[in-house]
Amino acid sequence: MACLARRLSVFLIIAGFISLWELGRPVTLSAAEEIAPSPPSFEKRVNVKKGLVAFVEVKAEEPVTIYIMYSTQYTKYKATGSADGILEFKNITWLIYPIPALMEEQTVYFVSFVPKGGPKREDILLYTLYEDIHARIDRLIKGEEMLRAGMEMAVAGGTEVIRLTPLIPGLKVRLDFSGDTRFVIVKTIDLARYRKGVKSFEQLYEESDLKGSEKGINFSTTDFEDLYLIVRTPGPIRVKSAIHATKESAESGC
Amino acid sequence: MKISRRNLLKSIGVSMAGGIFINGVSSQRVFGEEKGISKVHKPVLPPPTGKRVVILGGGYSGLYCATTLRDLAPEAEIVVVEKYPFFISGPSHVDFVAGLKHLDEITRSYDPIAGRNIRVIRSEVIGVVPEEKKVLTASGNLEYTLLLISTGIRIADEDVLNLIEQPASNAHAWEIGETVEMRKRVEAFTGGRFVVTVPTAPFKCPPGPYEVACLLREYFNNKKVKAEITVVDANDKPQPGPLAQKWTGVLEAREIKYMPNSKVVEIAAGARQLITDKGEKVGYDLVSIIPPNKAATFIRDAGLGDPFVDVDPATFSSKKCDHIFATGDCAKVPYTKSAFTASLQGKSVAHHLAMALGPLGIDVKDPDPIYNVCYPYVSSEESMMVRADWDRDGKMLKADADNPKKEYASSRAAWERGLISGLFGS
Repeated sequence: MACLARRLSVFLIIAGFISLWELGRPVTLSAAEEIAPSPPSFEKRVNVKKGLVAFVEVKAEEPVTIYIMYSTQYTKYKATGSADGILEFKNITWLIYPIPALMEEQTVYFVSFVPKGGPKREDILLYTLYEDIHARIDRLIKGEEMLRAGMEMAVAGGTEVIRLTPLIPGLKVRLDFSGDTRFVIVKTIDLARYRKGVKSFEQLYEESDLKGSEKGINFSTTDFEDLYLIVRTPGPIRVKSAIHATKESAESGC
Repeated sequence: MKISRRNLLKSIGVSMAGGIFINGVSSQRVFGEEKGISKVHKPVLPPPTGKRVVILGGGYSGLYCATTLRDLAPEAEIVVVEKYPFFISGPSHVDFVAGLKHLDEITRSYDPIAGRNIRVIRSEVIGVVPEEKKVLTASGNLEYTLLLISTGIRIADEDVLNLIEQPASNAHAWEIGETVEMRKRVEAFTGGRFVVTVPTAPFKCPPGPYEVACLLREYFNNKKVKAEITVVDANDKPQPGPLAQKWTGVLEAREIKYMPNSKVVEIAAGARQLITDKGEKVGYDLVSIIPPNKAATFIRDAGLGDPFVDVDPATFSSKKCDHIFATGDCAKVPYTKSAFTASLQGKSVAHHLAMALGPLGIDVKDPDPIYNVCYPYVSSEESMMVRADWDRDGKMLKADADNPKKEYASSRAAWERGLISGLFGS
């Protein structure tokens, strides 16, 4: 655990925002005992007071599925075991998810589903870092760049589509791949054409400005349109995204 | 994009290729003479003799600007260009779809506006030539001293595969023609799967899709129509984000299935299926896809911003042209895309326009900051309340929300009546 905490601190220093938050203590998730789903699940309740935004960071040694649910969804999940209609992140080893409480206190549950032979409860760490929403906006407007969301997911190989969202103008996006791969970033309508077979990966690769066959890419968003990363890889890799907010994004209205 | 005549010509070329001819001028002639495009385009009005403010869009923002500016700048000529012959209040589209109101209750003639010495011209805007201070409309061109763009949003059907080719497959409450069609389909619905889809934020009236789902749940229940209602949401939580927790509880209580992080990218009307970005198929018997919301394409083609007009949120002045302003849903501002903020933005920009017109003998002061109040329906009898306040530079100062209450449903009715009567008197 100490090792993970140290790694997180290094990450925070590298990202340049160690001074922005009071780093929360890592906690392990508690076992969900009321139901017995298969595979096992671990969970943590996060309360966010009005005026604050909580950046919840989940780290797992091996890929897990993470569900994020509000109270009513959690109640239903506990009663029925159904995660239907709940926000889901699959094959995750690292996730930073913001929970803003602009108008009222928010209560959100993080539930991790672990595949058979996957990490144990102790290997899944959850950190909660709180920040005042208005103070954060002030710093952005003064020119600081701050992490807004991030994710690392395992890709087994072949072709994978990953949605980069939510995007607003002025965000800085960094994508890293643990191995060489071919990738292209497209808008929604081109994703639809690709899925339907109207456009091939090669056609999209030819047409797009955001593409590569290396270990990473940096770019800035220019509008509100969703973007999709289509990755082609011969073997298992990990794909990491980090999205930073800027002054321009703070003024864009979201 | 640099503002250029070439960009404008490109956009006009697209329109003309689609069959639109400007006062009989052929596309060949226009394409043959890149210089002086606006000269071959006959004027709608003679050149202004004094100071003329042209307002594109006769919705809440444009009309509140026009009426406020009338008081602040009595000598200025004010021209509103609007594509529809009547004003129809936007917030009540959901009421109409759910059978709570008739359209005639929220439809007004533009005559009372014209009666205040504001010229209202019915035409469609094709383009803007900032360097010539001219607007091109389907009826001819129009010179201006200052220009306000308040054309609202454009529904980007082209962003959902097959929707342009199969337009009759969809209806929603975000445009008037679609709203009428949707009401017909709701009345004819005899049961089955009703699906409403939500685009990625920002979009007009953020609580609207969830209001439609809740109101139609009540309507179908009252009619004893068995409906399985699903909200397929491109966002990770119900909008606006600060109401997410409340909305999830409201939807859950009404047995409305909620699918977050699921963006509809295709409609297969023959199979009655929607396809999401994850490749999931969602079957329907009645569907209401709300496509992405963008500003009119002439804004992008004029180099004023994409997908919304780039403006200073304090003055609504374009960051590209100091004689152009933009407010409401088509502007890139921090304010909620709602009728209420649109009306306040309209009043506010009128002050900045009056100041920009120069000395007019009236002491024009800085306008009040923008705030939003809204009462999203959870049923015909109950609404939530949400309020947000911004400072003059567009920075949010405070925000508040409250649970559904009967009194808020009355507040909602009074809220919209107030918006309408502020313009039309009743």
